[in-house]
Amino acid sequence: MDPDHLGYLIDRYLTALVLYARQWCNAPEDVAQEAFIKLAQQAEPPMHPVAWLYRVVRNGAISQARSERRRTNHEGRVAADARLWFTPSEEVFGLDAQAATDALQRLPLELREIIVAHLWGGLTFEQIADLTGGSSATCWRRYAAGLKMLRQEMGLPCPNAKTT
Amino acid sequence: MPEREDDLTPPPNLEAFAQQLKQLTPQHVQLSRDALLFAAGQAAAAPKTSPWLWPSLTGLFAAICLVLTGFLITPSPTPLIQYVDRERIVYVERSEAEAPAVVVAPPLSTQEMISHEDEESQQLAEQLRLRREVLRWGVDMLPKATPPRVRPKTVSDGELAQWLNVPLGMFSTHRPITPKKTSPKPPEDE
Repeated sequence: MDPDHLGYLIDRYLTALVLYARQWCNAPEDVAQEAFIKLAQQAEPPMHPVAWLYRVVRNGAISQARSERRRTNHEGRVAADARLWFTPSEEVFGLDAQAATDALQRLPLELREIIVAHLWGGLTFEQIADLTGGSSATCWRRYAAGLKMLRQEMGLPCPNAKTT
Repeated sequence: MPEREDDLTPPPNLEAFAQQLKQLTPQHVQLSRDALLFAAGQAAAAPKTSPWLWPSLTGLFAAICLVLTGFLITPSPTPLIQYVDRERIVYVERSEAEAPAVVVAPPLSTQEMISHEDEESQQLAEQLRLRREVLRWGVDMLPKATPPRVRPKTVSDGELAQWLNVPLGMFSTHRPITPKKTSPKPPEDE
């Protein structure tokens, strides 16, 4: 793979991939790094490198989560969960990073991974469906349901809700 | 649910919230970009063959070399010479009365074999001597060979008729050849 293209992918998608891997494991940086190294080792670069990277990160994170489950204790898991997933926003009207992290952590995994892959990874619903093994319509439904739950969890009012 | 699968935009009441969420930046990663690029380049340049291939091949050939060296060093046993009597087949001209018979001569004894070989060697020596003489003096020194006298065979009429498969007596009859009578010349008109 072209080093410039690899550098661009690292700059653009490394943090999003780490956030995606964080859904499953406590060392997402290692998983993302391994994914980029595997991408560089490919003799023939994949047609959609971003979707390919997400697939490799997902498989690696699930596999690492299995091995972590055997050796980490409860305190380590709590400490990893308490870590912030987002940089605190400096905007006045921006969402609270801590609240967003907590709300995302409380979401079911199948809804959360679709939201993270679509919003911060930029994957289309078709690509997410290939990744998770379902149809794009199902992914869309889960995405909408996840956003609704997330908004409720964060205590934000619905803009179209009628006030009495 | 949208009507078409490619029209998968979130509902309008969720679009603003989705945009707000998107504004959140994922936490900074504790990974060095340069180190990651270096590791990726190193991995890409690594050979694709498995690491145990060349060591195992080297070990295999070393073992073969050791075995062959062992064979080379070990003294070979002296070859065992064994004399075996061989049967001689003699063909005898058959007579009319007798059926063709092959007489199997008794195996030659060692003394006979030696004498037979002596005869062959004497013949060979004689041939060599003659060739040397011819090369030295030319073919004139050779004795004149008298061609065998062959008596011409006469073929009888009966044999000829039998060979040609014609009726008997065809070649025995002789028809006298009568001379052609010439017509008298007409008198020339004067």
